[in-house]
Amino acid sequence: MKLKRMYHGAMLVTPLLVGLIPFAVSTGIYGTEKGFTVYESVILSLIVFAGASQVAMMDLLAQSAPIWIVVATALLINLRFMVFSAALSPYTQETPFWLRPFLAYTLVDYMFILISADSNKTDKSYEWAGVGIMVMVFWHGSVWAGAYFGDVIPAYLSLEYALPVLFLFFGVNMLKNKARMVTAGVTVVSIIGLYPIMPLGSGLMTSIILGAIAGIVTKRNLA
Amino acid sequence: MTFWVSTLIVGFVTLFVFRGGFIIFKPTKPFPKIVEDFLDYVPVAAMFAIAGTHMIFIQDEDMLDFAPDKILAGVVTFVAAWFSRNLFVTLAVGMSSLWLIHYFV
Repeated sequence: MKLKRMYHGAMLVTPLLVGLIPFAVSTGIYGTEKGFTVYESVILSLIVFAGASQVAMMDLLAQSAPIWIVVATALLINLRFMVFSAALSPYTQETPFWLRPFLAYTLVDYMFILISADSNKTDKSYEWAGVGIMVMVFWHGSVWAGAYFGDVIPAYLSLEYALPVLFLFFGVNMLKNKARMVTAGVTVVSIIGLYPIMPLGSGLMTSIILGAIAGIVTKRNLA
Repeated sequence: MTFWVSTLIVGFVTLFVFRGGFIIFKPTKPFPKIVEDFLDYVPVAAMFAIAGTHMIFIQDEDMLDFAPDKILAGVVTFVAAWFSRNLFVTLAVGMSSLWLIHYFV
């Protein structure tokens, strides 16, 4: 029964792999291009396990930003997991104690989409575990593949450009209301204006904060 | 050194505080409304911020310079993403527009 529920969870992931695999492969390729070893890219992936913050950390580390900027930027990007954690906790009522750290480790964006899709807040521990195993294997495996084969890909293909294309795609898909569009606009303007002039890569974090504040202000004014 | 320290701190906080906060541990207090609102907008901002840094600039020695080829392809990518809402169409349009720009310019 538990195995069946895990299998069911694992199967839920298959349609999402078309997005997950290119994203993870691009992340791996990007790491190699920025001068990280395959080992470092995979370790970073295994420990942090979140595409956007992995990329931001590699960016900042490559430009020798200080630890606090790297940490603060990555944590700001990862803060959303706290909301996911709160939102999904009703689905873990019957989770055995030993399984909880694993469920927490595999709480990625895909998990939030799949588990919260069921509005009946019944226990989903084993479906979650099934999703988690799949996402974990495909994500880290694809990062490894990208990092490993990254330096045999000819430079004129500019494959590193696939990464921002994917980020832009995910970003555009989030533009579901006016406040979010304002967030996107303010963030981009702020990146153009601040990123090149602010020291140590701190413009990235600043732009994210300014964009988010602009979104809240817009939402409050519209409400 | 910076790599290890920052990776371990980010990994630890992300797992035990952010991801595990409500799953490994079971706190009773919800977040304040303002925090929840703020967090609602951070993911969109993060996506556009990261896409922006990679699509607008090129690292030229120690300086960041504008990259007109990437910016132009980025605008085309945005239009493709907006109208197609399809990952592969967006990826194909984005990459091929950059290649075309490089071919002709």
